[in-house]
Amino acid sequence: MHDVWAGVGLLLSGDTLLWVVAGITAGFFLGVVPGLSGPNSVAILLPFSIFLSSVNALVLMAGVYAGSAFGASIPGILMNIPGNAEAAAAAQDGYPLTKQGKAQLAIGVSRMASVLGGSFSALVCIAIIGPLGSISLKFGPRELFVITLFGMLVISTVVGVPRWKGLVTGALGLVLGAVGASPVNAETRFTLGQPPLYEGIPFVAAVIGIFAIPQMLELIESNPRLQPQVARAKFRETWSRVRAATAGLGSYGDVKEGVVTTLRHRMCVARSTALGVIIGLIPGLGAAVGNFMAYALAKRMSKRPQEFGHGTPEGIIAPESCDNAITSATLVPTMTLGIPGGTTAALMLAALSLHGVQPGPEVMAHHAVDVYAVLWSMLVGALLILPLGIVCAAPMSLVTKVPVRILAPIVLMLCVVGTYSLHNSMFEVGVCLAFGGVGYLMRHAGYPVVPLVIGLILGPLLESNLMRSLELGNGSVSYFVGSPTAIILWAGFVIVGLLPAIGALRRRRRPQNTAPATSGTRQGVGKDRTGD
Amino acid sequence: MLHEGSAAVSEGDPASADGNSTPAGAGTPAILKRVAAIAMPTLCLALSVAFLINVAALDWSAKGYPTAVAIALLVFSAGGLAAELVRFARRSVKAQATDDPQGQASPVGPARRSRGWPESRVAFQVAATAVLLVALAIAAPRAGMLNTFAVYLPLQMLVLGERSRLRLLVTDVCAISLFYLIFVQALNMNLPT
Repeated sequence: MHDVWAGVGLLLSGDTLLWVVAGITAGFFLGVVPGLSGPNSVAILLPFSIFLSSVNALVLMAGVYAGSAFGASIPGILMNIPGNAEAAAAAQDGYPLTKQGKAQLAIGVSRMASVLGGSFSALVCIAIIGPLGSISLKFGPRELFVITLFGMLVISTVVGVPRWKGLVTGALGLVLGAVGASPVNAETRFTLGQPPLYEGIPFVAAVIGIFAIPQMLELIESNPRLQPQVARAKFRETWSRVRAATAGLGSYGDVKEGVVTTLRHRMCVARSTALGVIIGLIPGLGAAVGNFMAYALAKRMSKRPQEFGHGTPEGIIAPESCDNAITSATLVPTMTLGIPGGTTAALMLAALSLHGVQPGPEVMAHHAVDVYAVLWSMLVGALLILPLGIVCAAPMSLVTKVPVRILAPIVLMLCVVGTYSLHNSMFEVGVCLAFGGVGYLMRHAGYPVVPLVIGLILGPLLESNLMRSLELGNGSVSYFVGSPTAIILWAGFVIVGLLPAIGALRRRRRPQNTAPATSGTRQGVGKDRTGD
Repeated sequence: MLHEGSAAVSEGDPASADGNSTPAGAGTPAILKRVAAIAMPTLCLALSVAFLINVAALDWSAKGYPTAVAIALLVFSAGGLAAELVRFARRSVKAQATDDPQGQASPVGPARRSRGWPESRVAFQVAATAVLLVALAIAAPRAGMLNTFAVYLPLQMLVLGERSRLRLLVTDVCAISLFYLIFVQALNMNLPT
């Protein structure tokens, strides 16, 4: 309990609170710009945090993380252009409300739902992270090995469409994570004679490259200037939307009504927040899935489900409270187990490592106060977003008008400068650009980048736990199933590993049963082939 | 002047991972998508083999884990490459069977093709951006970051602001040449050969 209040003290001491405000504002600003929200905003600002003390840097990054989640829904609500996939759920009812001239009401509902979801989730996380940290402290290397492997498997299979693509990138991440000196005898592996690689691939440079550069190249591809016949019409349409949204903001009394409306839907907020916390604690599911689940749940539980999609406040409350609940909750497995709950959490993992806070069971033993300060900063951020969101929503939505030809070079420049500033190393700039190329290729081939990043970060942890387990077990494989916890974790691993196969078998059997009636002689042939 | 295409691609969104279900990369040349589909598993396969060869001579304690993960990568990427090749074979058979010489069944799709997406312009823009970035990485160590960016930023903006295909090509070439002249030749840099 002492650590919890020490975290508050740390947050209120010196200029730490200012960095929370700076992080929230920067995250909010970047989150509004489609393409710069979520992991991209954290990736771009990550290297600049190196000049700060570890606590200030961590609360800054947590602020950016939370702020970008808050900001992403604003352009979605005002102009039907969500800042990221997660914010798309709130736009379904937010934009219809704007079209009805109730933009301020929608903003008020959205901000209040964010405040409630984010703050409740932060409080829940503050309450559970201590006990969870104590449990994780009892884990030995074999349990940590299984948990890490389990996390990798879940993330690789959940985000990959098809699953083998997730597995390929997960394995690629682990292979790249094994580059450098061996943790056992310091023998170097795949360093290509490059001394900077002896310590492994610089993952911050890799992360910046793989997230931000492909995103900018994709923005360039979708540059409206390249489609002259579409560009002018699109510009006019956008401008009229911005003007309509700004003009239709109405009085700030509508904001108050939005806040009251949200408070009236207490159960919807509670359900969505609880769902968000649960989803955030499970690695890999992510906010995009969670927000649509919350939306669907709210629709199912609503007395007026037919109003969903036409501008009902519940359609904004559910995804917004869930989204902001997920943001804090993903930090719990990230910090206590070292397994990120999502992509942006993976970048937070990188931020923690960069500032000497090694995520994992030991974190609560050595950095409990820092961890609590970060979680309290999430709470402060959630509370700050109400005034910030209401005052800045309309002006910030205009940020989406920034032309690609200005935005892309500036962001690319920030990526290069940021990477270079980490260790004044052009080698790291090269790594950043190389990973940018790989990331671009992966996006176009439909490969998820998340497993690669997580494999890169967790790879060394996985190897060191494996080697320590083998040492403790005198090289015996049976040591890995030598404790009840390990057996349960292995069982979970096998179930998660087998689930896709079972699902595929079921799907294959269904067409077999109906095949004689539909495809005649092609009985037993896979769906793809009959489809042809 | 919006970037709708980017909305669903962040966070490794599963819905956009197939590259077809969202407008992300809508202007991507079809050939790039096809090349990327084959290139990724091939690269992974090559990397896993190279990694296995590299660690083969090491002590077991140093090579055990990397060997295991490299074998996992080898298996998954080989399976992936096989799946992609089968998919391409099926698609070409289907295209022939439906008499689809225009490649309507391609990942680009008939709707996008009929809208005349300027694939070559996109290719110019992306290629020029990539080349400028590499040039920047080469020039910056000698010329200094700030100086390099003072030239890079306006050039990059110029490249991205151009609309006409011919002028775009000229701008690309000029921008890259200018960059080369200023930071490579003028500073007598030794380019890696």
